[in-house]
Amino acid sequence: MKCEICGKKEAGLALKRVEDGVVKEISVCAECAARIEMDMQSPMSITDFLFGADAEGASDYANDDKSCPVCSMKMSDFRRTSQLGCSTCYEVFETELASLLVAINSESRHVGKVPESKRITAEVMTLRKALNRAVAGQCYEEAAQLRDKIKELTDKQDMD
Amino acid sequence: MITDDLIKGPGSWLSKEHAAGIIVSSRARLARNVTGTAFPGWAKEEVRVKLCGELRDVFKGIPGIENPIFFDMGNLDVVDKEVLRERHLISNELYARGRGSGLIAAQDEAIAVMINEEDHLRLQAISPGMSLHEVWGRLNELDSEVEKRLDYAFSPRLGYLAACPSNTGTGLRASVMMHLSGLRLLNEVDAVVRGLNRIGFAVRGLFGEGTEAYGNMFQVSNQTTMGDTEENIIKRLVEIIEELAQHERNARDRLLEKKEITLLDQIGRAFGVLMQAMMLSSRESVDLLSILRLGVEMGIVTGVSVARINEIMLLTQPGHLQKIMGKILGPQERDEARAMIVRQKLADMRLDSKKDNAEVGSRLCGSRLFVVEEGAKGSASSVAQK
Repeated sequence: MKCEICGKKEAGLALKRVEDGVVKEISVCAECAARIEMDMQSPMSITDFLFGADAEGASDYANDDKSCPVCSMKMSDFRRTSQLGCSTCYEVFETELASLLVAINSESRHVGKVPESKRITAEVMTLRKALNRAVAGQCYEEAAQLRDKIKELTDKQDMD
Repeated sequence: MITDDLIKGPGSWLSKEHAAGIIVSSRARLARNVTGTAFPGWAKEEVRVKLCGELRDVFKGIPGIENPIFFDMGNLDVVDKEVLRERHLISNELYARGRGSGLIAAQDEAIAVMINEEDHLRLQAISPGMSLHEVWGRLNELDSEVEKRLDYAFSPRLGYLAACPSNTGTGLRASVMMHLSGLRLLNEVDAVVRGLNRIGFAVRGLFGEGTEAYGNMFQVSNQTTMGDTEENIIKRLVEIIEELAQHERNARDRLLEKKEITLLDQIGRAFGVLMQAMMLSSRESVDLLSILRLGVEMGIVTGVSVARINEIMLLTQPGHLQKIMGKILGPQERDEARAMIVRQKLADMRLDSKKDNAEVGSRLCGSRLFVVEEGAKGSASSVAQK
């Protein structure tokens, strides 16, 4: 397969980038990849690269530049600084960030450590998802067990 | 100033003898933030100053950091900041900050916490040699202690929320510093770096910017922070580091086998310049010390330990030099002071003479690259006559 950027050399690397909010994978040669990597170290930020730094993309966000109610950061600020304003930004810009997180990690779910105080909340969330799946799949016996387990955990949390 | 005590020697992670060899040190850091306060890059100065004080109090008497020392970035002069940066206790980013940011470090520097760098907290642990599991264990314990005292910004789905989305998830960056001079001498470092990038590991030079590494010191770290547990991230890194160390050992064997003269030439030149130079630039000394280090690790240079070379590498950086000399030095004065310290610290060093003469001589004669005239004098001829 030929490189999708220069169209000349053999492509040996896969690069992910976000176009119109969708993650696309492109195959590139080592030289083009190195050039892009260099661009990433230049004033253009990683978010520019991942969101697509073209003028069209920028105007899309300008139309819908909502701001975080806690720290008043806007999406345009984030595109400029590559850093979010506060932890609430993750809720406010959830949709915009989802594709970026996938592009960085190829996965967008945390499976690591959970703080002690958040453990029950995290477990209940997992169980609720399983419950939805069970209901959708008409596995009512399993659903009932999951429902009881969730109740048990949330009662315990209320007591704390 | 407290850094006066620091510069008397290297941190514990550089001084121990088992730091010797290809794997220099292991490090892990966690990015953590608290809820309800803007991240440091976005918060106003007063907010940062207030939070910095509160966070500092959290670490008073916390298990895991014995006798913590606190440095206020607003009160430190440039040389003190430089010393902390050269010791890897603070990052370039924290170096650039002032009021409202700080550092808490254990006396032995094995654990350190940056306050209001890119994130509210950056917890880091470091140990000599290959010790990632131990380092992660210590860091995880400290984190669990901090978590009891603070409300961390955490989402069950996304994990620990960081200022930069690339750190969100585990917030963990685990890294190992490696001395890859064998691969470098065989011009194989670039291929290795590309291979590591392809399978999701980042490689950076310890000295120098970007990918240009001088001193042949490379830091290999994980790139992703989501979709995997901390234990798995550590386990995969350990596996890849051991594989890489094996590559480096193979490279050294091949050098001895196929390019012995080139190798001995490089080591001999490094030895000569370091022992005799009256001025050494930072770049030159780091490069030569790397080659010398290879000579020590391969038993060609004796009378000096790898720990001593680590110490020299640290003490000859600009901040440490100025601290030792007790004054601000211009570039040429620094080069003079650097050369002086190198000469003093390496005074007992020797080149292994047996390798120097007999073995090389016999190899040269054996390969018929070198025709010894009958009656010629010198060690090469005496070997040839045997």
